[in-house]
Amino acid sequence: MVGSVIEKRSLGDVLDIMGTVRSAIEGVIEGKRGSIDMAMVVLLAEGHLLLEDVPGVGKTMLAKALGRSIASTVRRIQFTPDLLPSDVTGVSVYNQGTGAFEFKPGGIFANIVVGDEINRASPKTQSAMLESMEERQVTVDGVTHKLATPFMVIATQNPIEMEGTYPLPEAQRDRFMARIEMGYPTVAAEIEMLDNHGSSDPLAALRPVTDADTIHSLILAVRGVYVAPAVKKYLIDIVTATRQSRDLRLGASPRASLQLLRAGRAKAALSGRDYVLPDDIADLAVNVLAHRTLPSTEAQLSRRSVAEIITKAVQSVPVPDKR
Amino acid sequence: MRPVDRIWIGTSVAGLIGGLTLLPLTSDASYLYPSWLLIAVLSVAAVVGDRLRLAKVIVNGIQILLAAALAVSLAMGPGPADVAWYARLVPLLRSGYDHIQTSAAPMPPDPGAQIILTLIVVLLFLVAGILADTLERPAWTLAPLLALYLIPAIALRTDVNVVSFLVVVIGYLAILFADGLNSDRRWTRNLSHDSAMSRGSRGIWRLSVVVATPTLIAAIVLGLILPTLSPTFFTSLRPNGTGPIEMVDPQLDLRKNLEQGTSREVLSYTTNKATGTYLRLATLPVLNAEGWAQSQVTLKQGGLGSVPGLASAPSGGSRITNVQIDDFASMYLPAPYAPRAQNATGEWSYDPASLMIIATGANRARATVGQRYTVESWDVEPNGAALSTAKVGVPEGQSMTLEIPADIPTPIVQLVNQLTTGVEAPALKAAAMQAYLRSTPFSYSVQGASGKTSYDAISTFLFQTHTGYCVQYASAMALMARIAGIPSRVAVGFLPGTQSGDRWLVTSHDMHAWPELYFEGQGWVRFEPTPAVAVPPPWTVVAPNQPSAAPSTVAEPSVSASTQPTAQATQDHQSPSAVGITDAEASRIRTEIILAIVGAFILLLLLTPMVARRLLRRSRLGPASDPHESVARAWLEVRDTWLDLGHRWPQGTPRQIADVVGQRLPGGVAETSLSGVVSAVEQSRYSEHLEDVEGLRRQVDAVLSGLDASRPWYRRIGHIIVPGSLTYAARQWWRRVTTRPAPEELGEETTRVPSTDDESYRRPVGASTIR
Repeated sequence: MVGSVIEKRSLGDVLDIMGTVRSAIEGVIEGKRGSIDMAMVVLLAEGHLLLEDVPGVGKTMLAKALGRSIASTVRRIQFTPDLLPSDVTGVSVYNQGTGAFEFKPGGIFANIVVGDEINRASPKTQSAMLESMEERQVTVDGVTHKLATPFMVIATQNPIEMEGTYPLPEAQRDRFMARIEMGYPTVAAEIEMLDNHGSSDPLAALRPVTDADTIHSLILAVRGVYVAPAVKKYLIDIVTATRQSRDLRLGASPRASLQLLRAGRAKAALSGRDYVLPDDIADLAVNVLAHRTLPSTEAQLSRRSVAEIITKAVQSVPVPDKR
Repeated sequence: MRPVDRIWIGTSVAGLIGGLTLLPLTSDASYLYPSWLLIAVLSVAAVVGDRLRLAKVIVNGIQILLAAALAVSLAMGPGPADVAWYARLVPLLRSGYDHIQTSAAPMPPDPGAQIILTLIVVLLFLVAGILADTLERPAWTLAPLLALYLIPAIALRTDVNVVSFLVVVIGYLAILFADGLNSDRRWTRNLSHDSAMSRGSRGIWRLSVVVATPTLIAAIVLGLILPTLSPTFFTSLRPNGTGPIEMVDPQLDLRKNLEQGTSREVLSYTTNKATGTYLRLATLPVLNAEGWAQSQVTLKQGGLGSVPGLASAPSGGSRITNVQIDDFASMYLPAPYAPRAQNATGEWSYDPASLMIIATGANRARATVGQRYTVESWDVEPNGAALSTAKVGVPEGQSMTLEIPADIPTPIVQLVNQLTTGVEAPALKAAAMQAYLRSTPFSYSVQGASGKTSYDAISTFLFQTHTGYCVQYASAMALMARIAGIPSRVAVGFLPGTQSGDRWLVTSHDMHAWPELYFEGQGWVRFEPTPAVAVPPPWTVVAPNQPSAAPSTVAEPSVSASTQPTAQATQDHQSPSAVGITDAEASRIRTEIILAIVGAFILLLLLTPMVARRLLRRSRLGPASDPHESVARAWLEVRDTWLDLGHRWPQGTPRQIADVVGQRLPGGVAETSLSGVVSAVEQSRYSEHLEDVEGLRRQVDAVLSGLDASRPWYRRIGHIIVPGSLTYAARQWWRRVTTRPAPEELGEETTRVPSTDDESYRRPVGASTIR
């Protein structure tokens, strides 16, 4: 879709441009810096984001704000049990005027796709969506359609209402780079929200601060962030620790390693560094690994959360102190 | 209750009951009260010091000062009030020391000895406390407690009763129990109440009882069954632990003094009897081809015991002699025979068989110099009639005085047989020998004689020259008595001297040797075969018409004994008071030099870790070949400085560590310098390129000085002397050496695939994450 030549950008630009994006989003969502940063990390690392939390904490708002702050195509798909795969991917329609089948693109043809309440759709629709997330292309009636670049799916999931939902299987969840839980805002942030949002819709006032091509160039720049062999080893040690942990029935996959590495690069770039620190890896470990692993029965019985188990696994791995 | 409280309660119990082990040593238990008071005060000081967050070393210093203050205040009691306390303390301690050295257990009350016993208990308690609390090695407190037990065990030289042993063991268990409670609290700190209840103090009690009871029973039972060490095992250790005492041959002094041209006054004495008295130094009980010699003796301390061969006071009765020695150096104390008690200052022991009184302290060769002392003695003056019928006895512990060497020259044996033909009574045989030696062919002369007492010398004396001095006469008679079957030995000492007013003056020419013979019921009896020097004792002279002498009055020993033939000083003998450094002074200086060297060595040993640490810091902050190297060294130095402050080095990434370390630094330093150092470390480790490290040295210096200033020096004095970084490095090294390499990773361990029949696997994931 993007035919224009991508301008080459440096890591300094990452810091500047994403700084403006962050402040734009912060104008809409108060006191959620961690979630915003995580969303930007996922954007720059070419991943997809799973937002999981109770209703009304701003999941959709975050997704929309991120999309709006970038001059790009943003589509939103509200997942319902009767949503069909073709609604997502698109459908070939017979055009009587031309006498030929014509492809009508579905909701997924956009730079940023907001999939609301993804666990309400039927497994069939879910898998159509998730396949295209991984492949970054859609094949309908034998014709392959490339998706936009940058392409990022921000799916939200409501853990409270279980009635009539189809929880994502592990394999599907593995396709999301990171999962974040928004959490309730602090008292001060909530008061500020009441002041700002009481009268007007802040989203309407949000103007794009950058565009899709710029983001694409930043993604290319992030790929050049240096990862020292010792840090790679540290990352693998952490992933291995999740596989060997007695508290986890299912450890992190090699795809998880890869995505953790990418996320680490993006996080380093967002901090203005051209090299990844063990700190970056350790900080991302819970968000990137937790939704891909399954706790053992004993861990569930002793009420240990997966986040705790992964934090423990990270702490058990010695930090590399040699080059 | 804090851990420190428990440890000091345990140690106090050990100290309070441990002091009881010294009770058998003294009849005065008053040392217990000040020691109990001080133990309580010192324990409270430790507990309060902990509350005030003082360094342990400081607390120990305060405790030592408190103990010293108590010693001073105890010394305030006795002694004249107008003398300063320090002038009172030293003599008091010295007299206490002498008291302990001279009296037998249980010793009578003495203020100095009381202070010394108090200090022993308190010091050993303090050592136990330092081991248990400051050094955190409660098990090592066995050493001071055992020392407390061994003091009476060694001093009494008999079996110490079981109670002392139990007292020490109970004290030791109290300390271990306190430590056990502390460990228990440490491990169960965060457990909920009921899980801690299952262990806790009751468990420790039970464990203590289960372990201690069988051990104690086994120790006591085994102690009763197994052969124990004889008390005499300690004999060689007794005199200040300096090993066996080498006894000087008194004959050397004798010859030296007699040959000296000028006669010098060596001592004087007053006595409660009209007659003067022989003052004996030593005896030579062993006879062999080389002559008369000392035997090995087992020394005893304390009051003199019984007189060999005499069950009760002899007819001569008791004598009190006040002796004043000016410049006469000897390790033997001059005393009339048979001494019953003496009060010379210094360390003196005695040989129960010969009643020689021998110095055992340091510098014992000069122990008699300047002594003023009183000797109470029995005068052994046998009744002639009784003596003439006395049988030959066997002196207890002196069987060597009966031994007749097989290689005695035949002419001497023949002479003895000839002299004693027809004489039955042993005493009469001896009298015949004495009479023979005092008869015509024999003459007294110091000059012509060799001074030797070998068979050859005595044969020459008896059959050829007939000239000699007291040594020849005495040894010849003793030898002849042996041949006749009478136990004999040669005594060396002084003649009674010259009377001047009520004082008797004894000169160097009064030095003398005489034989002592043993008779059953009479003990050791003095004979006097040397003519011209002294008149024979009345009991040794046979009256012309009587088989034995029965004198009604005691003949006065001749005062003209020291008539000196033309003796000239044959050698240039230097008197001890001559100019220049004497032996004693030289040995004192040598001791001081050795002490200084040992002190310097200990100081050096104490300073070594600190100096090593300083050198390490300097070399680390110095120039490095590689910027990466200099960054790594700088970080290592930050770590070690942190460890030296007594903190733990946190785990984690450099940033996480800096978060912890930065809390101890002033804000500016933490934000600029520390983060600069951390950034350099991160770049060095994890980045492709390392930026310029020019500013690193300055930043590291700021961090290090900030850290050094974060704790006052007195709070980290222990870590200055023993830097924590060095002990940390040692621990790391030890861990590396002792841990085995990790087992190889197993393939199936790394990829655990959940089985499909696992119930939780089939459960919807959403359900499993919501509770």
